[in-house]
Formats: sequence, structure tokens, C-alpha cells
Amino acid sequence: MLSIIHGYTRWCLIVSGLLFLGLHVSPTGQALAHPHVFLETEIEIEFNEQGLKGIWQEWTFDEYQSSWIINQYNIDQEGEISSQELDRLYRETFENLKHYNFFTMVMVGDEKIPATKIENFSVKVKDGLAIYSFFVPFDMEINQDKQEVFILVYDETYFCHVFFPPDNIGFKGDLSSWEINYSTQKKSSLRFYFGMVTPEAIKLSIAPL
Amino acid sequence: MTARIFTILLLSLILFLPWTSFAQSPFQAPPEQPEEKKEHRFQPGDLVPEWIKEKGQATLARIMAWQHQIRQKAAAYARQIREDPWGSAFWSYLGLAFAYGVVHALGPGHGKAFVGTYFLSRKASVKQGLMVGSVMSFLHVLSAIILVMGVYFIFKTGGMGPLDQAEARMQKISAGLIFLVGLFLAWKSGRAMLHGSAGGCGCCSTRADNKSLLSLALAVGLVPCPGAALILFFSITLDIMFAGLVAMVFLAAGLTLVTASFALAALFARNLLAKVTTAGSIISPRLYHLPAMIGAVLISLLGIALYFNPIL
Repeated sequence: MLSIIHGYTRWCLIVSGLLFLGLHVSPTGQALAHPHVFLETEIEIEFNEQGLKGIWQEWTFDEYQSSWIINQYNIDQEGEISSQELDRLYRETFENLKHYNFFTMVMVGDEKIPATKIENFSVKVKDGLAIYSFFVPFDMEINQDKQEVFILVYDETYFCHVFFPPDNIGFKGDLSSWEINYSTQKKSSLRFYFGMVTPEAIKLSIAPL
Repeated sequence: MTARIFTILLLSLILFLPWTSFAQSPFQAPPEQPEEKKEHRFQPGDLVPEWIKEKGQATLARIMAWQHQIRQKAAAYARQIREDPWGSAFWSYLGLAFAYGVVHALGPGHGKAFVGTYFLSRKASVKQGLMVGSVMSFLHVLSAIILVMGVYFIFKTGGMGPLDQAEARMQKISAGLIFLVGLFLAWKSGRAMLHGSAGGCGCCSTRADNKSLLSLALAVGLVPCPGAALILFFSITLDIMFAGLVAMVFLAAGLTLVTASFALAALFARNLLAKVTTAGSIISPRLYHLPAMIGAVLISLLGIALYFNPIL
């Protein structure tokens, strides 16, 4: 039995060595058994006189990711973080999300309007969990009598499992100019992770008052 | 000598790889394929009927919710362990690690497709089913332990990005090995078919042999278990490394339960099928090896599919 194990371990090592050399330069695919991070969301949708101004978001990371963020960026249990560390945290763990549109997208009909920038980034700690807060501006004018707008927050790479939509959705800003109704809807055209995950959108029906 | 050179080469590559470029996390690295160039490519999943996809989605969502709940509870116990290392939280942590292993193994990956295919196509014993399940699962976890220790202590880096990237690469190596194991099994079955023997001699037997089983277990188990890596990494961060390492044994036991169950289910299904289809009939010795041949080819094809579409 031992000789079998020895022989085959050696064989596997040889082939692995060759494959490793061959694959070292090749790009990697989507990894098995994602997600690694669970992310809970809270949102507030802000309106102004022209229409949809943008979306305020809070992302609460799971204990594992939170523990890494808190340790890596020296955030104390009260959530205090120095401005240098906040800058470093933003650069190292958030800025790069611009390549992924900050996981946020608005859809009008079939037209996709991905987030391109964020504002007012801050971080806090609550019950040992790291929470990122930020504003995603859209400045979308609403000119029609009635407009349907979908809001989606999901990570197409499935590194993160984003719990969205949240149970409670907040609205703020100039709400007296608009009649706003909302529901949720699965967007099967946006399936990802080998077609196994369908993102769910907040569907807003907006009409001027 | 050759083996030694390759072993040293492999270890050097693992140790001296540019880990900083391994950050696949969207929080830390840009996508490999720019967004505008993304287009729908054919994937084997496209052939799956819609109703199966919907069921699969619902199941996956449930598994994700369970994983999240278990992780939340485990994190609470982990913090208590820091205060009281041998208190009840320690044992609860181990219990949850076992549960996490079971739930995690029910998700994509972990070799279920391979053991299923292998045991459906070859005659095997219950002992072999249990052996392959445990070797595969414990190796899967051991690989994660080595990876986490390397990333955390040697390269002084954290976060799941580097681990994720390393996993993706190891997965491709594993897929290559699975392909080779499948080819080897196919060659063996082909030889037996040409020989025309019904498995009387050792070289032509359709029975599962420990050599091929162990090769498959090694090839599949080589991929570090991401769930194990995550829990161990968290335990190290919270300064409860010992509890984390013990939890790995329990997590591997949970994985084993699922993988071995798949192996045994396939094994019993095969035995039942063989009884029903061969009762009262005489089968040509050449055809006798056909299921094993089909199984071997399927394993190779699964290896190729895993290389390009890692969700098996």
C-alpha cells in the first residue's frame, strides 16, 4: 500500500510540476465554490427635482471579511480609524471596484446604466462587523409620465454573495415631486455564475406629481 | 532523480510565485477580461433544461443561506473561544465546522461528480467507497491548510484574494490530472476489451483497484477547500489557531460524509442496475468492459470540462 502511495504521489508531483509550469502564465478561470464573502446591503434612494439623484448604500461584511478589514486597517472596536488608514483602506479594498461598477447598476428598459463613481465613502464597525457607506450618483432625469427603473446590486464574479434587495428600502430628498411605488423582480437575463444565480432588482415605478 | 527535480521545482514554484499578483478579489484587482470585451460564450450549463436550472438556483440559494448562518454562529463561538479556550464554545465550534463541511460539500465542487462517475462504472466495495471519500476530503482540507499557512505566515498577506487565485490555479492542475487518470482508466478498459476477457485476470479486471482510486482521490483532492481556508484564516486572525486546526479535522469529516455518501449511492445504484440488466442473460466478455470504458472517458471529459468551467 505504501509503495502505491509513494509511486502515485511521485507521479502526481511530476505531472503537477509540468502542468504548473505550463499554467503559470495562463489566465485563471472563475474559482470553484464561490462565494468567499457575504455582504448585506441597506439602501436609501435619493430623489431631486429632476429625478433619481442617486443611491446611498451601506454594505455590512460578514464576520470573516470584517475581521480581516478591522485587523488590516487598525480599526478599533468603536469604529475609529485614522484618516491615513481610511485612505489606505479605500485604495486597497474599495477603489478597485470601479472596474466592477461598484456592483451597482440601474436599468431603464433594456438599457444598462452602471455606476461609474462613488462619493462620501466612510467605514464604521458595529457589533464586530465592518460597514462601508457611500453614495452612488446617477443624476437621472425623469421626463416621462411614468418611468420604470430597476436597481441592482450584485457581484458578477460571485466572489461576494450580495444580499439584495434589503427588507427595507429608504427614500429621501425631494419626495414631494414624485409618486414612487416599488416591488422586486428577478432579472433572468442577467444570470451569472454559470447561470446558477439570478440577481433580483428593485423595480421602481416613478411618476411626477 | 527526475522525480526529485520535479518535486523541488514544484515546491519552489509554490513558494516563490508572485503572490501579490494573485489577488483575484474584485476589491483588490481589476478583471482579467475587460468589461466591454465580455460576450456570452457557450457553456455546458446552457444545455441544461430551464426547470432544472430553476431548481438548481433555489437549492444553491438555500445552501448559501445555510452557509451564511453557520458562519455567523461559528464567528460568535470563535470570539468566545478567545476568552475561554476550553469552554463549551470550543466544542460548539467543532460541531459547526462539521456542519459547515456537510453544507459546503453539498455546493458546487468537492469531487461528487467524479466519485459518482467512477463508482457507477466499476464494481467496487463499500470499503473503497469510504476510502476514496475520506482520502479526497482530507487531502482537500490539508491542501487548504498548507495554502493558508503559506499565504499568512510566509507571504504575510491576508484576505481571500490570494487564496482564491491560488485555488483557481490548483484547480486547473487538478483538472489536468483528472484528465490523465481518466485516460489511464480508458486505456486499461480498452486493453481488456481487446483481450476479450471478462475480468478474470488482474490486468483486465473491471473492479475498482486501489491504485486508480487513489490517483483519482489525489487528483481531485489536490484543490484546496475554500471553506476550510476561510475558517482557518479567520481562526488565525482571531488568535485561536489551535481551535482552527482541530476544526479542520471536523470539517474534513463533514466533507467526507457527503463525498462518501455520493460514492456509496453510485456504488449501490450500479449494483442494482447490473442485477436488473444482466439477470438471466449472457454478456459478451468484450461488452462486459463497456461501462468501465464509458466511465473512464466520462472522467476524462469531466476533467476537460472542469478545466474550462470549474463547477463540477
